[in-house]
Amino acid sequence: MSPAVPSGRGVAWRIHLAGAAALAVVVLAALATGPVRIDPVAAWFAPADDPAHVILVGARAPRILLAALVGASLGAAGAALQALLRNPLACPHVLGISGGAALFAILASVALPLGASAALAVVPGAAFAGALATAALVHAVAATAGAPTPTTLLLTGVVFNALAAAMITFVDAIADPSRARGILSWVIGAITVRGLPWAALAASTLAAGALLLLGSARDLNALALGEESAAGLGVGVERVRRRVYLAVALLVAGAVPVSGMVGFVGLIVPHLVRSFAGGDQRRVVPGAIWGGAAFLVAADTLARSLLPTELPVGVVTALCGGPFFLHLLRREGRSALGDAG
Amino acid sequence: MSRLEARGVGLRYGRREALGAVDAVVAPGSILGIIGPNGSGKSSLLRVLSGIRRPDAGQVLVDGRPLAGLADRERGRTIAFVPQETHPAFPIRVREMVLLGRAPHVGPFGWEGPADLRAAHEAMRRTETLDLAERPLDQLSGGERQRVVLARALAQEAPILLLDEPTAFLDLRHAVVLLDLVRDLAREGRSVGLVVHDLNLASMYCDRLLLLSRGAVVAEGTPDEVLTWVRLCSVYGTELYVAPNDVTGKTVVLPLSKEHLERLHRGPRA
Repeated sequence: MSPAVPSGRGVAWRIHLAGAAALAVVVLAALATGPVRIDPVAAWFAPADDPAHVILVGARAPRILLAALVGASLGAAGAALQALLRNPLACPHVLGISGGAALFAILASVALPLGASAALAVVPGAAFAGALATAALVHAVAATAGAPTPTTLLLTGVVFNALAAAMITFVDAIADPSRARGILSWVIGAITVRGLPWAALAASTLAAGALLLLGSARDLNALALGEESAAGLGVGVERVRRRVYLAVALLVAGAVPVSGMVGFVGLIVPHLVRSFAGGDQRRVVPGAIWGGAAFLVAADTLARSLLPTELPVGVVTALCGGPFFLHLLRREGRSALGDAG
Repeated sequence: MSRLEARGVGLRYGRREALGAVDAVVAPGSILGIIGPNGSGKSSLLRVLSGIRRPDAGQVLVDGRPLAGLADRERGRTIAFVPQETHPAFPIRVREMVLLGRAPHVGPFGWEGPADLRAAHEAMRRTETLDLAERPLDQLSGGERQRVVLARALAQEAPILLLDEPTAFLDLRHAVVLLDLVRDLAREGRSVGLVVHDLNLASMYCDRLLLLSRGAVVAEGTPDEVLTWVRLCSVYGTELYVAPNDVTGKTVVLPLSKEHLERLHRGPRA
């Protein structure tokens, strides 16, 4: 008997290959692009004091690495939240999880007199606590409403983002200028190179979060059918939910201290991935990791080379994402806002 | 083959009592139909039996062992539960939907292996959905959709099958096709529990019926034992016509309109 139902295993490997290839192309282009055009390969092998080499290794490579890590984190988190909440408009930014993380991180870094090494421990910890607290709130709102009405969730997010933005602006106004420098760019989101340890931190939270989500992808597929169907398929719904929120909080906690509240990455990328890879989360999650990285590297390259002055990357993602969000709202209509089911 | 048994189960939603001390048995090789008016606790009982809701009192046993003691995945391999409605959040093809039935058999990072593909294929063959394999689920008719959902439950290869109003959105032909299949599945040794709204379908297909009213069991037995005129009129709170029919010999239940009732009470006129 020849089964009429092919397995998706091969497709998953193709997603990883295609994603890695796309990211490699974007990274090469990004390394070449900027106020000064350089040939990345030649510059890499150039002597250490060659200006092109200095730009490549000292400025562009760290920035691109960071953008890739942040983009991958936000893409993965967005894909998982959309599946978990059964809502195509969910992402860490829209739900206020990024805002909650930024709020806590700002409070910690301004209120406590932290040295550089203490900040490395405390700020991401605070961001994690903020992300987790917001995620718990989102969870509670979703749970009390019985079936999570997406409108309620999105409104919770609006409130948290507004709170975070207000708090950041307030802190910027009252804080010692030397400590609060650059803090305003957190509101819109900008890739901020803070040194290797911060990149390593973002890489570890990405690894941990991605692993948790890849391991939950199968259960997320069942959850996309609804909680009761998933429970009937032997999925421990509550356990999966906790695991996903934990992963999202980790991913956001790694991203926020080096990028602030970058919007729309987690919203757009999963849609793009689903449009060519289908709805299976075992393909969507890895696709969103690679795709998120490529998307944010590309957006950040535009941000730093489009104008003579540098734009925060959040401006670029919002300019791409805003219209896309409206398009989704229009297409999904009432079903995306969900109240009418 | 597995026997599913509820012993004195109670369930509350906040302060509202949905079930109070209900006993029920879903036995191998037979269909138990759970019937009753709206809000009588039919779906609640099915949720408790399936293990997706823990009862607040009493317990559910699988072959004499507590269902609560099973791990989630083990429960998914033992009991296939299909809620009344399934609305996937994302577009999904029929074969993907059926393969989800293998969820309790596949590990966390796993993909379906040959055994899983065979089980899904067999489930689709039984439900005559092989031709639909590549179709998006949201493009199917109500009857096709229910067959696909049933295929997913079959792919779980669980000895116990619990379905919440599988015929709710089906016309007569599709309802009969589906329930014929469900009866075949029961005859092969599965234990089947159904919530049924339509008393005539319940009478025709179920081996035993459990009549619920306000969260309590009013009657349990064969359809002929349970579906009596006095009992049904009182439980459903309306006048009914209840009688065996000539074709199947089974009981048929007919609601009576206000107009007919008035005519009945006035008596025959000259």
